[in-house]
Amino acid sequence: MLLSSQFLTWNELISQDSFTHLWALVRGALALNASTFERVHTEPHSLLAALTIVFLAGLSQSLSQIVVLFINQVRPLRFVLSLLISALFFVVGYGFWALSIWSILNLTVDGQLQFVSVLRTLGFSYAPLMLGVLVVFPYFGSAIFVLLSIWTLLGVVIGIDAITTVSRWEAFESAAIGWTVVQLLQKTVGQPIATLGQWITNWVAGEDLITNRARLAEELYAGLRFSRGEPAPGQQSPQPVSTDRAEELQRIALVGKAARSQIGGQISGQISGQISGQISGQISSQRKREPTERER
Amino acid sequence: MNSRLTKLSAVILLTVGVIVLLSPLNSQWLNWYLAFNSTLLKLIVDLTRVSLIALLLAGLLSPFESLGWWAGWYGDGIETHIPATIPMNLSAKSSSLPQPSRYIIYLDGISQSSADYPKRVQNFLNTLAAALPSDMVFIQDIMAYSALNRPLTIQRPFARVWRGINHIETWNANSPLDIFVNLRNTFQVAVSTDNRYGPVFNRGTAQVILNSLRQRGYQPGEPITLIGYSGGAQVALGAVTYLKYALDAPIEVISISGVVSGNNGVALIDRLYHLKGDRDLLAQLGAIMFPKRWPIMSWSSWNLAKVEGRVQLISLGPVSHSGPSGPIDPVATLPNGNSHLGQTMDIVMSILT
Repeated sequence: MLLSSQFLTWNELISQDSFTHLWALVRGALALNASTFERVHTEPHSLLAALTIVFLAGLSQSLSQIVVLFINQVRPLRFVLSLLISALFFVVGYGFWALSIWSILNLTVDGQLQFVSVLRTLGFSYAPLMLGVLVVFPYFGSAIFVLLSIWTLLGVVIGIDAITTVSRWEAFESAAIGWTVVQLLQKTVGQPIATLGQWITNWVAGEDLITNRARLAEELYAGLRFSRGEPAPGQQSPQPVSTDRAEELQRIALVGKAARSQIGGQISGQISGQISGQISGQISSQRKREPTERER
Repeated sequence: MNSRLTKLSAVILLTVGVIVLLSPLNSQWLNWYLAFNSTLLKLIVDLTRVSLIALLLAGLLSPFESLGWWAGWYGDGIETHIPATIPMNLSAKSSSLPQPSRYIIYLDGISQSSADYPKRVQNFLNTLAAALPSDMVFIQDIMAYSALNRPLTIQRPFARVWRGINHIETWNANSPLDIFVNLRNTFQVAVSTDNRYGPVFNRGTAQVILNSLRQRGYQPGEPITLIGYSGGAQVALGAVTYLKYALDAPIEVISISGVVSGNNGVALIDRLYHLKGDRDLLAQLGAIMFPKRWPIMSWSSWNLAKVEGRVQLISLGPVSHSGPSGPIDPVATLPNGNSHLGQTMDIVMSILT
């Protein structure tokens, strides 16, 4: 019942007044204005707004990881769905963090604090991450992401400080401990949930996503050296050459993707061990990677 | 048609998204803006805002060409820019000419938009091609800023715009419109230097170079020299990592007024000759913008390569980055009477021969 009053009807949503009002709160949160975090709790629709902010922040967070989806060659529709799922998981993570902070504050300082208050405050403090689309920007994007994350952390601290009687440092400590607890739980008792999350992510992407940074980098070497890529239409046939190394060269992939489907599954983890003399005789025995759904 | 519609919808969605998401930042700005009384001033401010948003969008979209290429979003092929016929003197396999002693690949600066180079660059390439020994193969048809090896002027959503700009540029060489080409390609240089996207972009350009080498009858192990002008030097260094893996051949890079990050390829390179004019602000900016090139980062691959003598800095004297006072201008002269082009040619030839 309490929650139902937090959500807008469609008419309310499109009414300019409430939208403008909520937008003003977002601006206040961006400006790290402590009074905004106090006002949030008197607004009727602020929980929906908070959840929306967190979802958008989650989208930003997933945008910073798009290269993982691209290197894994996820198709456009699945790519968009993967971003949305990732944003939803981000919202779930925010829920756990809020729960963790609320538990700590309730156990140590303020026994009267409502969970929904922490949800609202934490949600609005995510406002800086709404600008996270900027993390896609080449070269500067990573630095922008770090700045936005620090900005968000400051928002969380100021927000908690505003709704409780704790000091700024205590607010920071509760946020930090809360975050650590969530991470620990995720790695231990929360493992089945994390595995389920990974399973859903892979299911949406249509393949087992490689997420390890080193393995992603290795993926890019696939097909560079030893593929049997056929010449593309209009391409000249390879010249006959004599040496083994020359034969390898002739097989240089014309098409990264085609080459990867030939040897991609195998090549990861083997790059360092691959030497030219070994490969010429092995190509014929290289098994094909199990085709993914989109390749079928 | 569907794919075009999808792309267009994605761009529109991104535009609206950016505008909406940035709107909370508008409040202070709007108060300031509404205080203006002059219509002209408001117009100028509006135009600036629109330009900034367009610039932001262009930057946000810039990684997607190479990322989409790798993911196979644009079909299965990497489009190679194949000349209809390869000139006999360039095709190593086409005659009884001796085995080429070296392959030289030119990667142009950020003003490149199509296979037709600007006059000054073409003049440099012609001079270099004429001066090179007959046993060296010179490749100059690479689109340095596209993992698809695709010029800006064909098979792109905004190809017509780029063609228009090229047309105006041909008609009026002093037109300021080339800044759009420069900006577009600068973003691609940024993509090449980016820790996230760089590997994919650099893999793409390496593939383009490999294909071109193969067309010219490249034999494994033959040494390669990449000549990169301005941003082309960064593209060259980016590709080195993958070229080295693919070919296992000696690879040198000659950077002419190069803007290079120092974090790609330098670790694997046999030698980098970095030619820079004293009045070259852009190349200087590169040294400031990229932390790996700061002298204090003594453990960076750039600084280690410098210590090992694999990176050689060569001063061009009072020469700027490009244009009439740039390193490949045939008219401008140095205090010693040599032309800028003459000096650059002397250095490049002494490295190559």
